[in-house]
Amino acid sequence: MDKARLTTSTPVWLILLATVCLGLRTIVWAIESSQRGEVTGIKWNEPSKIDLVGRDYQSKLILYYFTSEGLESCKTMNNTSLLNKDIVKLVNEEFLPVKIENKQSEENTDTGKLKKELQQKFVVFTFPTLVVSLPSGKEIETRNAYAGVSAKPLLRFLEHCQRREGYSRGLDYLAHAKYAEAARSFESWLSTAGDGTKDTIDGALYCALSYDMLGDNNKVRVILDKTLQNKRYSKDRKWTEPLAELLLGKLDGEGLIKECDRQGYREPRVYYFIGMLELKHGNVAGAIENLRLTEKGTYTSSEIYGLADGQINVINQVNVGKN
Amino acid sequence: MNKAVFLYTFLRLAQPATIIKLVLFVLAIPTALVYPLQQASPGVSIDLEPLVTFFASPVMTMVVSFMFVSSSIGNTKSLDDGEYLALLFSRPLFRSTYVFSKWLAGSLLVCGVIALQLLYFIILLNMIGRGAQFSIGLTEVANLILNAFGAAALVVMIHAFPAKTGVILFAALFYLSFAAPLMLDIIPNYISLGGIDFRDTVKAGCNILRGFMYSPIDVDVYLNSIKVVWLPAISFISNTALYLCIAVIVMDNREFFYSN
Repeated sequence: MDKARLTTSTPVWLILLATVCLGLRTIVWAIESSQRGEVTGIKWNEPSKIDLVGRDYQSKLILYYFTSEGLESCKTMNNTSLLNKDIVKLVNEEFLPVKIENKQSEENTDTGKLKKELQQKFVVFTFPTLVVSLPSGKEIETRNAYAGVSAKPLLRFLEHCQRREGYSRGLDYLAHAKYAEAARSFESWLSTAGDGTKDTIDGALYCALSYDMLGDNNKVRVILDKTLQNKRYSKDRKWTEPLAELLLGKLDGEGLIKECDRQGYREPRVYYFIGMLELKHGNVAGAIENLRLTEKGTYTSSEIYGLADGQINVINQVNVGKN
Repeated sequence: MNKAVFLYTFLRLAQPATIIKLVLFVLAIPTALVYPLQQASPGVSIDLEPLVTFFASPVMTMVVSFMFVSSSIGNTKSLDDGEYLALLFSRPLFRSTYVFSKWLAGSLLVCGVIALQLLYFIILLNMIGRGAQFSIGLTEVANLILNAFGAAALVVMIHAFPAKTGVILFAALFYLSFAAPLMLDIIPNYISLGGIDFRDTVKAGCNILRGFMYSPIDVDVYLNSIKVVWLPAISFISNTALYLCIAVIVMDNREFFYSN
């Protein structure tokens, strides 16, 4: 009986340790909660106090931090990754940081409405969420951090957005039919992006398309030759080769669609590229028809749809101007 | 710590079903990750850093703990006349010693399984000529070890309860800490308790539970922060101590002391 009691005695030091730690945890939690907002490594801006619409195209990228008061994962992020030295330095030097804190007290105010508009624009449903956009407002990338995000992945996300800036600027120019600027943006981005980034192949195709719209066939050939040598995954071959052949004049629109059917899928970008080439050859009606088909691809692609929609708007504006 | 319990925890893995599970787990994830990399042209450089974060993530340690540690803790083995001893000891053994030995062995087991997986992944990367692009930092190793100790303590606590109670307890804790707050977001907020927001109150409770269930540590925060925030570290130590304390108390109060 004595032995049995002996083997069932919970160590006092363990109970003490657990109790002390729990007490300490509660005290530290209370102190840190009361200090919320006092540690400001990143110099956050209020959305109502800066001009988010008329910003200079060449100015810094905007980092939106969508957060909500009282939410544990937001507090964790404020107290961990957003206090990281490298992140604080990078954000303060290279980005325009804008904090959009969801506050119940602001619900019916102008500031609250502005915050809601930005949430809707960038389709933010959960907190915390980070969005990086061009100064023009075009979104580069979104990172949802519902479960919190630690410093290294966050730093990598910000660096990725910086690297992707040229690509996004290129897309923005292409959607506004500014082919020379688009070609320059994509080309300068390609020279620094290396071959390993996710968007290299798409960027090269858009770059070639921009040069094609400008009639510079030499550049088209040089860019596509280099791209076709480097493929990240086997599926790249399915996309790159038929689209490159279209730009090089080896395939026509019908041939491209046949090739896609042979491969087993059609993507919105097939119609976008065909539409753009129709436009180049002066067939505006055919161009619009194909650009509108970008919605009907096997996979939805907001990037391609944005480009096609932008191009249709430009065509319509030109037609209105002529009339 | 008791050497016999410690070693027997590893011995428990030497069963065909567990070995098959272990081999599949160690081989499957790295193979699936390397396959697409193999398709890339040799000159293409690919950022492999996210994969380091993936292998050393707290979620991975938690998954491995539940997969491999839970089976080696004192599950109830009921016969018609109650529980029985799977392993007999020649000397009396403190139940706290039993719990600590299981915890220590379980933590090392988690580290071992993830290390095996990483080793296999590095071998595969070298085979396709991309070994030089993958490197693990000291902070990732420290995070992996510390979070393995935390996750193993949680599993030891859950499995210190009789099997059915442990499963129900885990399911309830998991639901309340992760699923319930997400579901609350889609329910219209019309219930008010004397001016207190019902949804926010329940969410706050869920958050406290989540802090109890899942409180990983990131060493990087303490090395590279402009201001040291102590709460995550204290929460981590507090949780681990609490899990072990509850495990010992539960074991102390069970009808029979048994071990497997």
